[in-house]
Amino acid sequence: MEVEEEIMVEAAKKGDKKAFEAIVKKYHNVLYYTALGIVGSGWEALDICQETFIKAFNSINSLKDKSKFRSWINRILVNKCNDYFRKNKNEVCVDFIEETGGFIEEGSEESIDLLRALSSLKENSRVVLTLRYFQDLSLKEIAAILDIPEGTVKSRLSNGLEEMRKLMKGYKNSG
Amino acid sequence: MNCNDVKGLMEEYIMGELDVNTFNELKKHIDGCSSCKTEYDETKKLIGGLKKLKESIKIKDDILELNKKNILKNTKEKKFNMKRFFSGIAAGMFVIMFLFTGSIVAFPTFASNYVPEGIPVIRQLKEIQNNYNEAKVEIEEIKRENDYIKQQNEEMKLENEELKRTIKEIEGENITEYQTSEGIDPADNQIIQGMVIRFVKALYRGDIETMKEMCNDEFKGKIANERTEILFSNDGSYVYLNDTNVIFTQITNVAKEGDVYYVFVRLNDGIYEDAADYQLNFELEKINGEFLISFVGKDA
Repeated sequence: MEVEEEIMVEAAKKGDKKAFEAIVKKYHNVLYYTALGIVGSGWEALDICQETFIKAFNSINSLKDKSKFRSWINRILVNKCNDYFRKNKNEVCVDFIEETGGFIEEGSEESIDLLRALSSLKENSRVVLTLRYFQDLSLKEIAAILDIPEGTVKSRLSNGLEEMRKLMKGYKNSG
Repeated sequence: MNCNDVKGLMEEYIMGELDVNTFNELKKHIDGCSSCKTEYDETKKLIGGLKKLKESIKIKDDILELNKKNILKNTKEKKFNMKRFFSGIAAGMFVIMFLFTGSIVAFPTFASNYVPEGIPVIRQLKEIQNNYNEAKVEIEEIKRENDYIKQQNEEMKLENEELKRTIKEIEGENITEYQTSEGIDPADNQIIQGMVIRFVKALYRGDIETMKEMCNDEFKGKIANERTEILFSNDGSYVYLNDTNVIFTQITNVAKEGDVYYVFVRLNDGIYEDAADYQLNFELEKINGEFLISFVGKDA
């Protein structure tokens, strides 16, 4: 799988359209859900996802280590999310549920609560939790993407989970 | 290993990323520590939920497909704005549907087949639809009102034409003659209306003699004995008010029944504001080619 990906990335670097297509096919949805988890808006996530791929393909030649493609594209995605936060400083992320309301399968009350709790977390924790559980990335990979020590990833995860447990309990008690 | 150590490693424990020795140490502690056990259970459930979360977030495949296509198309170009694109489509469809059907009633239903419910475009469309329908109702109401006003104007125009024709001078007064029954000789009509006006003028002068001259014997007696309501105003005081101006508003009706003639005249004497405008109903008899007033009654 990894080798396959490296071949794909190599072909994309040479401008192979088919390789681009294969990469988009492989990463599009996972990056979309990650962006959604981070910014909390379905439409913004689609845009961020687009911007990420466009930026990736336009600068794919700057990627030295082909095996790090996943981390590399995730780093672009996180940067795009940060750009979005910078541009929308005054907009508190409260439209998560509303915006994604139509995206959530019916009857998943718990999913809505989880999304609500996730969107209430600090940006730092939200990014780490999303990368970790939406993409199953290792602590090391997350540390590389965010360019922070592994220990910081751990503490952000642990704080985020703690906060979410409290929030979920609160939702449960308030019915 | 104490509780704090366990807390620090809990996440990796749940994700199965610890080496065997550390894993076993943690397991041993958690099994024997109720507070760590609770935290473990809760955190495990939470992580499980988060891992499944992305599966429960659904977006229509065709939107994702479209986004993918746009990415490939725009790799070397400016990014494609999905939100604006869908708003654009929506606006386009709106115009087309409007042109075809003159109504957007069917539209949001149509659109929601292509994009998920609850997304901004559909909400906007539903708003547009509601606003459109409200505006439509308002416009129809205004149209109805306009038609009504137009109709009223036409009627008033006709009425004015009618009135212009029937304003005439009787005994020095310009009086609107509202309605005259057919079958009344125009000369007779002129006479009786003239009598009525002379009678009213005499009434307001307090000239009982002139009034009596115009009446038959029976009504003459009533006037002489002050037994007629026309001699009293609304509050019961005597009506002989010298120099009181009276306005002849209009001759409401002139009618005929056998030898009895009726003349209804509207007056305004401005004495009592609330009852300034009133009507006197005259009954006249034609005896031997001569008219005599047989009764005068007050009407609001």
